Amino acid sequence: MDLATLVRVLTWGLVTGSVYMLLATGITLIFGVMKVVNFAHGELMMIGAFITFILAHSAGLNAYLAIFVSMIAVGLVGVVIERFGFRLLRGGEKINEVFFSIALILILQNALARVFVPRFREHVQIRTPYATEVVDLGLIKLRYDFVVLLVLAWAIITGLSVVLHRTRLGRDVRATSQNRVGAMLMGIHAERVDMLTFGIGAALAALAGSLYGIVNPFSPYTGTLPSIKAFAVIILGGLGSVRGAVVGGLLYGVIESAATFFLGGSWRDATAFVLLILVLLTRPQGLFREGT
Amino acid sequence: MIGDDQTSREGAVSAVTRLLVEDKVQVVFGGLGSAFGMAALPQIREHGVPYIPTPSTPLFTRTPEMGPDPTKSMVFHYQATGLTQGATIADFLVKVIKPPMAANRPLRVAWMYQDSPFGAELYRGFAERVKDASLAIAARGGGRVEIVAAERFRVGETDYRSLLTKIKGLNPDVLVPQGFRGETVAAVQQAVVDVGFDLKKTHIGPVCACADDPLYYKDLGKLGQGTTILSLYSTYAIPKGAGFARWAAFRKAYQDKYGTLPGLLGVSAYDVVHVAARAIERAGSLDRKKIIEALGKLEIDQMVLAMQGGKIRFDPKYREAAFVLFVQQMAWDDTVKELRPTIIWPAELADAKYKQP
Repeated sequence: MDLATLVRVLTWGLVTGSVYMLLATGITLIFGVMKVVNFAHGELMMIGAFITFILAHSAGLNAYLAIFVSMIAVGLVGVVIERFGFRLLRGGEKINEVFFSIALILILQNALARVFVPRFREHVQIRTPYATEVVDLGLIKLRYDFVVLLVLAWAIITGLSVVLHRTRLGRDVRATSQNRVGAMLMGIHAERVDMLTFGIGAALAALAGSLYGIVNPFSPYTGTLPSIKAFAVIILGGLGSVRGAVVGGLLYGVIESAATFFLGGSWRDATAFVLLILVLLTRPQGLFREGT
Repeated sequence: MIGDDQTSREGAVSAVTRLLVEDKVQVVFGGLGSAFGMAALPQIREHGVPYIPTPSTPLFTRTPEMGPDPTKSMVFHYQATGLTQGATIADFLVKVIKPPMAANRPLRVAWMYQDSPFGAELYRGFAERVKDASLAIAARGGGRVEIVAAERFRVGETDYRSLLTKIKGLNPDVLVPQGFRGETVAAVQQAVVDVGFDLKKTHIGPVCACADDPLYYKDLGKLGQGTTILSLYSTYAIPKGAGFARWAAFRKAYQDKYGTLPGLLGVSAYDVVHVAARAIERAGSLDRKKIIEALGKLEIDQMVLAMQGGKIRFDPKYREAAFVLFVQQMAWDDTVKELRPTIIWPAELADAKYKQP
């Protein structure tokens, strides 16, 4: 393998890994604070992708600006789901939350399919003004869209990290995540933190979906597999650890890309899960501990 | 009665079960994809209902249980099989693409196909034909076809970049991506834009006949110029000859009624309704066994799709219908801002010759 090919394989892995990273960060934030596993995270991802698509395709908005509108819209959807769904189930059996999120998958998937499939049929893709523009990076030529994807994903994750570690909101989120009762005794409004965290997680899913939809075609059913992988990522990185979600997501993307290159497309999904099993056998708590 | 397979094996089983058990239908036809139709086959066999599938896998009638014994077979395959399509692609590549691209050496072909009965049988048809001695004679001048890659991808895959990067490193003369329409569009676009396949050095195609649909020409865009598609029904072109006389009227009627042009699967389903109706007429009854018997003996004039010999009939061995296949090349049409096809092979149906980009 020559250097250019190696760089290409790594780049495709980082691109996919960045999407997993965003998805996994959202899931792990929600889990860390609320101890809720939202299996419908992939569907929030697809709602985000479709909102961006509609704004760019039908309303003529620049796709990159549309992403931010989509993040706000899906963030609000997340707030509604938390307020009128998961919060009402809090304190009950965990199985209720699991079935609620599985029901959400079916409802959201079918609602999207009902609206979009008659009009767009199989797959759609978000077109940006730079869809065919290429930047020469020496070893490889890369579409601007990929550069923007990587920059945007990392900027948002860095921004989130700053919010979590340098602001009062971040302190409240971390405190609630570490000790909910203790945080409430210290005057933190835990339910408000829940709502905000779910909204942020949903907005990250919208960002992941929109970026995915810019570089890949998608359908209402596309979110399922990336979200399953994002769950694997947070187990790999460590449940409730944002750092784990970032490292795990990127690692997962790169391994997937390398497995496809060396072993073939059929091994793409399997290889990364083999890695997950190996990590669980040798380090059951994941790469990082909760709260990092 | 309509059963929605929801593009899944489970959906196909549940839809067909409902059609058989609740609706008690006399004939089942269609199926969106090979994997979905095949998943429903056990139910169909159990109920002894005549089935006319329109996906491409030959396994519908070539599995041991569905073999040549007419008392066992209730499946009549109305689609160009993957084996036929794969073999036709081999013929086209040797006769048309090899001379300009690899006249004095083997033609290096890379296949990338969907990991399903549909994709596997297309590849098998190609690989078997490549080994055929008669094709070697046709490929004069330095060997015939060398398969440099045969890479699979999962159904519904959207990211082909790592796979394409690997294939590009093997320097193929031809890249043949075989998947459903959405998969094919993504694979071709990513090959050209992201991985940097140069269409002057690597021919892309022919892609699967199942992709021939108005959205394929629209979605693929300018990047698809020079690529080829295997077809038995073209969305826009009409081959020369009397066998295709009905196409223009059919297209107009379809567009007037539905506001869009039909694709291959729509046309196949239209034909099959007539095939089933004629079989029931000849059976003189709605008895399933009598309909199966009538389908086995059926010989009627072709409907929309052009048949070998101009007649729809199911061969007694595999109960497959034989279609006329051709290859089209894409060119950008600035007036409609979409790709449009020109038939380039075989010569008796062609409007023009293959143009190397």
